[in-house]
Amino acid sequence: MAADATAPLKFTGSKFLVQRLVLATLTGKAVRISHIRAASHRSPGLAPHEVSILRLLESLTNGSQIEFSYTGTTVLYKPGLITGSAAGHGASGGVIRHELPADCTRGASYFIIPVCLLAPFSKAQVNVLFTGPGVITSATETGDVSVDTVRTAILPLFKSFGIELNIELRILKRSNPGRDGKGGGGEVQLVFGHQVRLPKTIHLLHAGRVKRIRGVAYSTGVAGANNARLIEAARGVLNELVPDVYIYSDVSSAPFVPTQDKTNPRAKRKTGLGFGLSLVAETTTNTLYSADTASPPSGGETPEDLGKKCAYQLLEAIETGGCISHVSAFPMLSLMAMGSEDVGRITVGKEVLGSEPVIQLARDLRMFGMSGWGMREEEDGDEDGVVVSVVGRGVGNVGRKIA
Amino acid sequence: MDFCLSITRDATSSSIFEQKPNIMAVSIGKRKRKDIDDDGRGSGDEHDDAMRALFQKAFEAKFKPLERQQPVVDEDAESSDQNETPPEEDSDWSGLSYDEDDEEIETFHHDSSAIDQAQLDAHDRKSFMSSRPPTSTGQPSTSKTQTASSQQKADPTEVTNLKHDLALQRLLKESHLLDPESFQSGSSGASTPTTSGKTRLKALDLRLQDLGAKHPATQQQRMPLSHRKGIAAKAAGREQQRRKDAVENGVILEKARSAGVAGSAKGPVKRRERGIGGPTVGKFKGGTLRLSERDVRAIQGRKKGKAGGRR
Repeated sequence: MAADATAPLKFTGSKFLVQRLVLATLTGKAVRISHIRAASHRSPGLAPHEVSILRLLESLTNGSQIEFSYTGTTVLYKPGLITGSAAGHGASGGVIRHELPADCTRGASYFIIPVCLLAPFSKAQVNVLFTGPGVITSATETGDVSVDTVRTAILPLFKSFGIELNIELRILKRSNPGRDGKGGGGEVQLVFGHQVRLPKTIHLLHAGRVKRIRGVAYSTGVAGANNARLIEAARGVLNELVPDVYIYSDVSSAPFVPTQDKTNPRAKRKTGLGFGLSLVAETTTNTLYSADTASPPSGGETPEDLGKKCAYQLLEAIETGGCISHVSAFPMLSLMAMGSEDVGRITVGKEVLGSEPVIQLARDLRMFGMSGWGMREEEDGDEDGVVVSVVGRGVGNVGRKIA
Repeated sequence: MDFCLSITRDATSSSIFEQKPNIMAVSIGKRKRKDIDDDGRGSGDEHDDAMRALFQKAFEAKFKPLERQQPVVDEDAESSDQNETPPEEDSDWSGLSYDEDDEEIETFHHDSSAIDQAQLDAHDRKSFMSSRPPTSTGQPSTSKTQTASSQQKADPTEVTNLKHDLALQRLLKESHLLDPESFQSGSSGASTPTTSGKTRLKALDLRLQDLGAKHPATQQQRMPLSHRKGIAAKAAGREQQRRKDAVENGVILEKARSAGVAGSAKGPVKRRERGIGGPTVGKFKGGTLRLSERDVRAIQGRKKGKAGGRR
């Protein structure tokens, strides 16, 4: 690819690693990321989940090269073509099995969202099964949303880019974070079967008004009454504001994972007990705001508190306004940058726009050769939003361009 | 309960709602409380009052401030009784027209979602909790009923339209049967040319072939070879003549299809199956290679002429 001729782009630090890797894969440019937790004496270098996502990228692409330094503080990533789950590239039966390590502290959405961003530009459909002793489907304290939120608040957004067919996120087994917030025992399958040459240009200027709120309360390995308490508390806050609130309840048993015990290799233990709530507010213009809470692995929080917290979090998200929230900013803005050479516009709340990840995304996009963003204040004075115009670079789907 | 439903679903009620604010507010309070009692799932009076206050606030923000009126249940019931007493005035219009006469309007939009909730439940749950990302359609079950009713309304015109469509399609397809002669012969009767005589049979045959018939029904299955040859030759000659005439008159005809043209005796050229490992000559069947006489001749070649020519 073009990356062979040029020197790799240089980044430092462990922050925004996923974002940079995804952009590198989409644009086909090599990156060299150094100083990854170099200052840490106890655990320098890449964390288990970061290694895992590099492996996932390798299995989704053909011809990627990944080089770690001896300590793992530097990684060189030369992306290949995004092939998806094409037969013969690590996919057995059209499904890539990706096992997450037991000491993974991040939720499954940490892996799913980047895959969703790569999948529209893949050559074949993407079908990844996340399994193993490290899959946490719930929201985590490390800041990942639950897989329910990915399904109900992020995947519907792809529709505005003309990507809507044959997309599924199957939650086969639920799990909260295990002891110390590490590991789980869940199982999630992502099927992303709509590949496009270029995503459509979007113009989302009006956030609209909230017309309904939906949600999922889940409890794994604990009494289903927790769900009822979560729902009651959340409804207590939301019902006065929106009449159309409906929260579904999902109760499941705790997953079994094998213990790493050499004396008794067949021993299994329950893990990932807990409960949580995912809320999604939908507006008249199909903008989605979401909120997530889950019980902490140490316990000690009542469902009532969590339910209320989630409801207030949702209200906060609605208050920030704009057509994208903190959660969906990265996928939406990146897809806009990948679009055809046309100006797409989107209203973003000032709080979202001013957040660190979004600003860093804008800088990283520039580094990868995308155009800068144009910004202007929203014309309707009542809301403090900013209209961000993003010019696509027509990068799109390289696999589709050739084949 | 049924009465409430019929009013809320009615499209006209919303326009009335804008005209007559104060009466509506009264009826909201009354009906709302009644509904909750009926369902047995309301969250109590204080919640109801809060809801009412919210709605009133929203309403006053949009229209003019409401006058404070106490909801009087008995009076309202009486008035509705009075409404029902003269049934013969306009018997074909039920419910709402009386309200219009007496300026008694009852709308409660906020309640409709609660009523529909039970019906929506299964469908909504399915769409939201399935593995696919939920589609953001409004209210699926009600929209379904609306479309169904609209279909029923549009039925007669739709049916006639479909009929006309079919007739037009047939006419376009069978118009080539309407050559001048048959047209003249057919025009003696009142019916259209394709509904009588030979053309009718031909048209019928065409339709059958459209539906997937293998052979035209008019074609005779068994006949002496000489006859068939004669027919084919005649048809080919006719076609040739037609093309010749067309060229002379400067008319451009459709392209001659080698396979489909009746005159070409060869028919469609079959592709030979040349799989790997198969014989290049003859047929391999039952473990033996069968060569026809023609194959043998082809292999041996014309010995005399060619061999002689070369030497």
